[in-house]
Amino acid sequence: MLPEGLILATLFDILMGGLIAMGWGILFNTPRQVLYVAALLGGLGHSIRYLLLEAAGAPLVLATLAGTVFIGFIGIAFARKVDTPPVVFTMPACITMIPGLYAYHTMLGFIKMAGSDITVHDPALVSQTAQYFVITISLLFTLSIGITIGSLLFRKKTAREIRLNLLNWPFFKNK
Amino acid sequence: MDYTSLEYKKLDHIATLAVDVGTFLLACGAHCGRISRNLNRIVNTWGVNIHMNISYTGVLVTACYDEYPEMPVTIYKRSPVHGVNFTAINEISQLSWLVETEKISVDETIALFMQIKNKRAYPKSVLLVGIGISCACLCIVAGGDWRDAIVAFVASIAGMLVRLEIVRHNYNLMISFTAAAFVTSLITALNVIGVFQPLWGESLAPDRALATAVLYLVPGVPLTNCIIDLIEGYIPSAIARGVFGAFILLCIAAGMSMSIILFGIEKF
Repeated sequence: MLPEGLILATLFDILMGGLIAMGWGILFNTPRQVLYVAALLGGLGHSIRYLLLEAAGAPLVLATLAGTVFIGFIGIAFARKVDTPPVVFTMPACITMIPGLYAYHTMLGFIKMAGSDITVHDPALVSQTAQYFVITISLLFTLSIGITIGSLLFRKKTAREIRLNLLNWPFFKNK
Repeated sequence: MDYTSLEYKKLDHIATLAVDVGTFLLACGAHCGRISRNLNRIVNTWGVNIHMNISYTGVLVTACYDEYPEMPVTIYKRSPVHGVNFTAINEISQLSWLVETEKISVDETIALFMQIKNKRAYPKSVLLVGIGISCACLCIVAGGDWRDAIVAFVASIAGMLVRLEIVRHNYNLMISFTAAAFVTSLITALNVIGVFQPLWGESLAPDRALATAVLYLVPGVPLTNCIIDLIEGYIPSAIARGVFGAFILLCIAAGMSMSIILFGIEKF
């Protein structure tokens, strides 16, 4: 039920991503004061994935990786601004891209595999299920990479010590 | 310094605090790198050195003064029941920075830690509505329409209520996941076979609601922490978290397949 037009659909996607991230933030007990950060990052990250998929036609795993890495970087910048470990809001934000549909198809495939005569009726089932399984695992990996991007790319141990040039932007200056 | 001195007693207090904070962070869903950094930051302020072994079920800490490395204190503690709580992780992190910059004493730190321990961020009603909205939006993003979203909303809240009730009665954790997945997918499977059609007509993609309504059960924190621990080199803990998360996924799949087989696999 996405609205017509790319811009409108993207705005709708940002709204949906934000609501999802907020729900996960509540489930993970993210502090109230930074719940808006989780919603903002979730919405932006999810819309980046949506744009890459719809407008640029990028592969699914690559688009998800772009979204989570974006969330990871902006999360480090926000961590300094609101004085909170980044994982508190990058985790709910990244989980907006959880591969639910692919996990479901994998599971359904496994149940069907147990049925009788599956090799006669639907010979493509096993390879199809294997593909869904690989996509699910890859997407889970990309989510974690987005969350750990700070410790992967910087030699500093804590997010407080990482200084992105982003901090010179006017938006982040007020602290 | 000998084993009866006040200093040695203080070392004992510090090691106990370290193991308490460590197991608490572990139960709240912190990855091992974070636990290690926070504990080191706290105890190094008091001139104490610690080495630790973090598994998924407990923390082993050996603490000694920098100037007396031959007289260590070693304490092991089992972690309490795991429940993700990022508010506590945030506040322990703040506490560790406070200890380092303000040099506050051991007793004060213990008092502050006790305050953090007894906090909960959200009441149950907010939690339930948050989960419902989250699953409904996931359903819309996956391609369902508003009817599917409403079904996902109701189903996820019903499943979570069942899970909380089972956990409250101290049943096995895995049973709670299986039962919650069963209840949730039972409601959404009714949507798939068309029970709600007289109410509001045919919905667009009922299978999307079935796939997304159980997502609130997915152990996102253990699974992502597994990868983070692997990247940072805490292998035993990573294996334990990965196996735990994978088994919860298996339980969810078992609960879902029970209700799917109940209605007949050929309909899905």
